[in-house]
Amino acid sequence: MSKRSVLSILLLLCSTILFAQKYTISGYVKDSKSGEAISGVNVYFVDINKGTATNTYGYYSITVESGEYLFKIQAVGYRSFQENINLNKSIRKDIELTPIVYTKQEVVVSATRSDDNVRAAAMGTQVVNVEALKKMPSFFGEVDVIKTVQLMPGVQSAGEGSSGYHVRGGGLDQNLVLLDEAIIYNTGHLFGFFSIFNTDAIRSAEMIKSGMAANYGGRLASVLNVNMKEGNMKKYQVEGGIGLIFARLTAQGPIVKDKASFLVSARRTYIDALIQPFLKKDSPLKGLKFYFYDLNAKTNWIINDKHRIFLSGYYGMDTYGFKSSESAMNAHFTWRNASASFRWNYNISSKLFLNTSVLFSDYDFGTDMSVDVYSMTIKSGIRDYSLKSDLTYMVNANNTLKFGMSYIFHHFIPNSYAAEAGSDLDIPVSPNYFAHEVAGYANEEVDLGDFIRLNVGLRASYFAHVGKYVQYTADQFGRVQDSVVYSMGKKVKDYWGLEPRLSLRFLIDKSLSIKASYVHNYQYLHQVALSSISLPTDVWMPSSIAVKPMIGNQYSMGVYKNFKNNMIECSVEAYYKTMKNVTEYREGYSPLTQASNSLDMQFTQGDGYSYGVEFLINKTIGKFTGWIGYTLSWTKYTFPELNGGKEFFAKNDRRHDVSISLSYDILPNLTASVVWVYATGNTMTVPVGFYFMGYNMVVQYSDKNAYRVPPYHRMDIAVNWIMKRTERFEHVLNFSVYNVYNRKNPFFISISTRMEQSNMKISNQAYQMSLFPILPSISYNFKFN
Amino acid sequence: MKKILWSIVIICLFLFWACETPIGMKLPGKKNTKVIEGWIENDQYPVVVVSNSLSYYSTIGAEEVLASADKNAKVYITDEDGNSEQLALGFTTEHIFGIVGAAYVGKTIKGKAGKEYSLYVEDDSGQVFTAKARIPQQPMLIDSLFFPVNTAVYDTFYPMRIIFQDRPETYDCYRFFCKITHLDIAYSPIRLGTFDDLTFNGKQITYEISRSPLSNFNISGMTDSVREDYSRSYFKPGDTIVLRATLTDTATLKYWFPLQTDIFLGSNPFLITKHYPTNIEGENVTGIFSGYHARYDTLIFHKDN
Repeated sequence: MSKRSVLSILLLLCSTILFAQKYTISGYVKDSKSGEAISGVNVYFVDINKGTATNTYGYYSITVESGEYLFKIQAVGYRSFQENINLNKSIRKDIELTPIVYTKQEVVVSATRSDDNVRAAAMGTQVVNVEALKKMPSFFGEVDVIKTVQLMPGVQSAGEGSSGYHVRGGGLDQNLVLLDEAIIYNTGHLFGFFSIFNTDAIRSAEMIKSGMAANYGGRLASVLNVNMKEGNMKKYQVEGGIGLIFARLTAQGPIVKDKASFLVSARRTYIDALIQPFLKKDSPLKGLKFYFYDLNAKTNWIINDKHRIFLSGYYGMDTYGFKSSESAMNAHFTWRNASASFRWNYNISSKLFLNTSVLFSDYDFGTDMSVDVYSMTIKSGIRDYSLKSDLTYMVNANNTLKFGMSYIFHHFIPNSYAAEAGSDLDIPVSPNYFAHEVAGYANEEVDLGDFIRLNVGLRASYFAHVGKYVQYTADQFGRVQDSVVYSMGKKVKDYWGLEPRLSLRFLIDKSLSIKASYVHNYQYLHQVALSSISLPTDVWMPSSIAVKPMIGNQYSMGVYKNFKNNMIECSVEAYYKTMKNVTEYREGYSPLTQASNSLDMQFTQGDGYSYGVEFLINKTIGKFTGWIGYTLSWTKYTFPELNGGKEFFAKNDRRHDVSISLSYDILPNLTASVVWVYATGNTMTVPVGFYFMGYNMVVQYSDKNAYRVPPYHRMDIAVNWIMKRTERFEHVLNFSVYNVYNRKNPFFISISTRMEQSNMKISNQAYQMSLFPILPSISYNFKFN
Repeated sequence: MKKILWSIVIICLFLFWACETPIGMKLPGKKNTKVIEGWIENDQYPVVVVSNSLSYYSTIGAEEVLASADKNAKVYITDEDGNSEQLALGFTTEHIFGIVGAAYVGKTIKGKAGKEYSLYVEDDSGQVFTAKARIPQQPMLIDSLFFPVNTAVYDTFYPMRIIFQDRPETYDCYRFFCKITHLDIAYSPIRLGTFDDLTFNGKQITYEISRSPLSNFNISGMTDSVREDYSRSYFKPGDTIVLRATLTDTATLKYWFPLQTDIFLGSNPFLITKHYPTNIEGENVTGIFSGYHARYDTLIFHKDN
């Protein structure tokens, strides 16, 4: 090879290297007033239309070829930021966005970017704008994140007023709910009528119902990712509110300005204190004690450009006590949620972002009852200790890699009985269960050319039920014949699975795309409901020798189209999902009379499937905003040991589900909003015949879930009036009417049997029990800055 | 427990102004099922009642109820030695159909401890139903029966307490009935009084006898005092109570255990519906054929207690 040739090749390589020289711009996006990180913000170079979105902590990183670009940041509710940047070296750029005051661009549910619903590979993902939902109709003066989530297509309320929800036919236990990454096992207060999320303490909430990326796992149906506010880094702030049955107070501020901050937020109901003076001395409710409270706290510290730590926690408790001075009966129920999160952000380099979290979750339910000399205590719950680490490698503007691992040590207390009955009964106590859950994942989101974006991931999960545990074998009568004792930590049974994830977006034009996704996932935890509604007594159980993990497959496909410069978002998503090893109690099980030393032996498992189509029209910008959602769906199960092995509709099978949520800014400080929902009635099992055994009438039931209760529909309205807003002070009045046309919606159906003594006629009458008639409420909210 | 569960419901309803509306129901089809309830007890003749289930939502009068009793069946009992008897229609106060003579009652074969008996029923359509039941070998070992009159929490009414000894060598299924002589025409099963000895095998147990009304449906037109007497759980001075304490077979326990809970809890909408496993073989049939080893103890609650 001649010298000239060598020189030519070297020059070519140099020019290639020079041509390929890339630099990174990275940093945090924050709110200029509070210093709060802003997640999901669109950060991009206008000229080349390349960009990214900030992560949960407000961090972004874009690597592009060197050059001069117009750098732009857009976030809903904030003034846009733009600047010409000459990117000839990697730079760090933290940006503070100014919030728009008296915005006429309020959004209730918004995509992360005006056209992100079209451009993102993710499907079935929606973000709740927590500040905007405070203008929506409230329930007893309290707006609720979960009540808003329930209005999204594909998400169905578990019942009147309930904070439980079903996603695309999945069970209540198939939803992963995270608060600052810690798992929340019971989202309800007051038998589920209110959620545990205090909107004053919540910064963001995101619902993922399909195509979940590989960093999420452990549940089949959905992820609700809720993040608490970090605390104002700039100035002290106190806000609060008084509603019909609640009072709320939140304080936040800097510990060291722009370095460290805190937030403390508390709520308590006072209905128990309010009603007591009005009760007569002999009222059966005189001995009533009922209240709940919760507390959120968070602090964070920016150590330097590379390190930041967060410490947050939640504690909430419900108490129901009944003490009768007339009788010997006392009862006391408590249920309690606690979570704690310690998180460490480490910017290893401008392209590498590491988050490591140490998490704690605890839910327990306790009952103490006594009548005369008899007393009984039942405790159940679940406690998790977790460690997780997620590494994000932002390769370039077209490619983001994520790797991570998580470990959870579960401690289940399914039902711990203690009884004193003047005798020494050997009441079988369902033992505590211990389990390890480990997962590792890799996920890549990459653009394949200008039109195709691929999000592909693989998650590997492992679950081991470990000792301390005693496995019993019983004879035909249930008498223990033998036992195998597993010492602490010794493996009893393990399962593992590979969970591929795939989402694909094909961009047809800048306002139209088609997406498809496939998710395969394992769920090793089961919560089995005993009753027709969800109660705090529903226990969580691990997969074990007797109970196999649930396995889900979901196939989704959708078309997304935006109109009027992204002012109106429309989508149609169709899905088909299968659920294997869904868990229910065996027929005939009753916790009142059947204690067991192996609760998991009382379960039976079957398979289910669900399919449907969801429509959404969402107007996000303008004086008039809101959305219309409609879902058409079917959900069916087959259990070999239930319903004679015949297929049956799920309790939450709902053919039609409509939600309309609209908001109109009458004046800059006056907003009116309306919500209307319609849902096909739940299914239930009902009596169809009867016969006599002795003198007792015995009911014959229909096939499982063969009857459908009347449909549910309701309209709520609200007016939100900002009475005064200055730099220092703001106060707002929200007037809401729940169930404005006083629809008597079914809560449950009961049947009463009567016999007329005169003519010996026996008649049965079905009654529909409805809970909430028209309920006006008012809440007053204030904020001192 | 029932009170507590319902008190939760009541509190919820109070808090949220619950409202109850009668509704008509568009129902799935009714099942037409043959119902057989039979029993044989030590030193007693067998009794078998054959009937058909009724539609749930139509108003049913005495005529329809009585018409649901099958009086045209052929009912046979056979013992282990091959002795067989066809039972004839007759009277018994122990079943609603027995008081009108629509029960099949034996006259020859009496139950013997430890023996197995076979039931054969053929209805007028030619359908055949069969079952077997064994009378347990031993009676219950009752140590004492008493009223806790010295306990401060009781005032007018008192529960009855029984102390009995369970046998360690056998799996025992218990079923209790009681009758207040001036009030009840039949022995009614006591509240949650069907259980096995899994939780107390071989031990001496104190158990509270809580009476349940003879029937689980509301009877309108009663005066308050009559209703209070009819539905009371506890006993009061002046009562004479006959306790029928039985050991029974496993099939009877499995049938009555879930059923007694449903009868006790009524139409509680918060609980799942139950399945009652029958030991009657045949198409579309439910019910139970039971063997009981019974003993009868009478307690007189003196007024000066």
